[in-house]
Amino acid sequence: MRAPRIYTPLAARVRELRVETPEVKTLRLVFQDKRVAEKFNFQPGQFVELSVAGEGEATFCLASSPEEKEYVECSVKRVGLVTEAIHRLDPDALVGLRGPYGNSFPLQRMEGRDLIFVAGGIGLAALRSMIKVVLPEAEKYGSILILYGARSVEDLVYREELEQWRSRKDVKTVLTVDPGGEGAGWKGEVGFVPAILERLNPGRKNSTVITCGPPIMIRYVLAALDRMGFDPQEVITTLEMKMKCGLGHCGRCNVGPLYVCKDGPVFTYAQIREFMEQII
Amino acid sequence: MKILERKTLSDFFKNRLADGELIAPVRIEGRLYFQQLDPEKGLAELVWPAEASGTDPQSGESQIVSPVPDPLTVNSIKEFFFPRRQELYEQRPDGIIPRATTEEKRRLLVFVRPCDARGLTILDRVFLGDTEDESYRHARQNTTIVGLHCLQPDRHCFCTSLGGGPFETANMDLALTPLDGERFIARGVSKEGEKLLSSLSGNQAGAGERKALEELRKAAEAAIRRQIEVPDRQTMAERFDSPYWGEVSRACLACGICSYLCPTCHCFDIVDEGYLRLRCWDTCSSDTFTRMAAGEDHRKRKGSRYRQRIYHKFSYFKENFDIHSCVGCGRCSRHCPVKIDIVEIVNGIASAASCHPVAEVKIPNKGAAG
Repeated sequence: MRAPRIYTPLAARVRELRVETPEVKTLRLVFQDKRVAEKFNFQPGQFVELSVAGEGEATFCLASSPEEKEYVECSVKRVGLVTEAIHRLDPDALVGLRGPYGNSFPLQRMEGRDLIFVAGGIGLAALRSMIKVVLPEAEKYGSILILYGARSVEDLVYREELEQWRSRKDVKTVLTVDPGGEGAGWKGEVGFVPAILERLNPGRKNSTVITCGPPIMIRYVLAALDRMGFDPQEVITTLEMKMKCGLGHCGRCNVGPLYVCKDGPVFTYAQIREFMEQII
Repeated sequence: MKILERKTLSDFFKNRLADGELIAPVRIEGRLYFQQLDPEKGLAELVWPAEASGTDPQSGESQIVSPVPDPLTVNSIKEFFFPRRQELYEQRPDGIIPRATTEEKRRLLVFVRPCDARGLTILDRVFLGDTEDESYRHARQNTTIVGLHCLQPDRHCFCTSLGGGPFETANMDLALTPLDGERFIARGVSKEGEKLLSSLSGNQAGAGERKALEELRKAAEAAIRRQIEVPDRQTMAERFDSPYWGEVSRACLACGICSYLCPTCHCFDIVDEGYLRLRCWDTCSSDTFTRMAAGEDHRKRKGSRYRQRIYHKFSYFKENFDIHSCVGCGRCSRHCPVKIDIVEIVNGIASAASCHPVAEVKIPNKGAAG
């Protein structure tokens, strides 16, 4: 039988493999074929299947801005076989990339609203693409709050950018680390993300929350937002789930009638509330 | 509607075998399997329906009442459209090499039971939906299906409660009803089938044969005693958290045979074998199916995995595609090593204890890790 072409990836070269934390590297990729690069468009929130020869494919969100036309970036936490192999890649190594898949953050709908980004650990990767689009045109939105936490200071990703965000007057950036992770000289907050969020107590009127992080964090952030009276329609999260095809065929990311790969990965809290126990 | 002699069909099959591929039931160690016939051996391996549904072992005479308890092939026809293992492309450290597209011969799939043919309606929804799988599309277009009605459904069959039936013709090109070992009533179902039928010599079916056909149909339908009663969406939702799922799946070995033999199960994996990337069948009963690299898994318990199989077939698929992802062929129950019976399980849902999910998430005092 004929091989289906829908799974054939585009070839891309590793241009940079930036060390973010002891467990996370950010991969900057350039498509081998320039015409492909020009045609490759995506929206913040979408994901790709990234593959390494002889190792396999895995799912990653696109962490760069769609405006950065020369390359795409994915941040990869070392947790399994494929991610180990990605961490070991040589500069200029060839990888496969297929996508973009899934829906995206409803940016247009958020114009004029106050934005509250809440991220934990590597979860910031999923929000970074959107933050990179939002910040240059911050005037289109109301106030912008970025709350980001990690286990320890050395687990914070995108440190240069965090500094840039912190230096902006039109953005409030709050960084926090789990108790015990602060180390000497830490000037940020100490405490878990949901607790810091409640303490900051951002206004819910005219606000949209965009959150991503480890399942346990999302769970408690959503619970905190519930208590603070946020409208579940205005709470947006992006879900991570084991995926293979990215097209709603392989059945792996099916939860309830939804396929995280094609109906998501971006969902409102209102959409997933019914399936919470199954997802996170 | 025509009466075709076995010889006529046999000549037709031989011709097709000479210029194309012929996929048909063959007997391997006493059981029937759909398999591609070896052109060298001609039709020697082909198992004819009279034999499949019963040839008296002593006299050799064909008979309609089956002494063979299992007239349905072990495998469904799924693998000829969605292969068990399919090479996608090669990914080498220096480049991505697509598989070469070779010209494929036209395929004839013969003696396909109505349940198997109906399974394609369900696979079509998946593989010809929002994103078309061109390999599947090509296989569908490149295959002529000669269906075979069931005269003697067995005790595991329950197609009639899911919109199918032993004399249904969905997705067939030509439909055959065995009259006896030597003659078949043939009906053209698709345009291709009608054209095909007009090219085959045979007498037009008369009133007597039409009457016989009707009687055979009634008898076959009456022989299906099992009925699956799928609860409505609300009842399904209310039983989602029931301890029932843990109980009914306790014996499950997670071997996956139910998924692999199912004409509609379509979950798959994408894996590497050296530099070759493959698409291989998979099953939601496997404990690695949803486990992520970091160890997170939202279906850690066997009960939740078995429940997924049932809800996907009888709740989610229906919600998305307006059809249940089950054709009632009974293979999962027939071949389950620990005799898990899908009909019993589905029919037991309504009377299972419902257990409503905890509406509120428990809130710790200090929040959780970031």
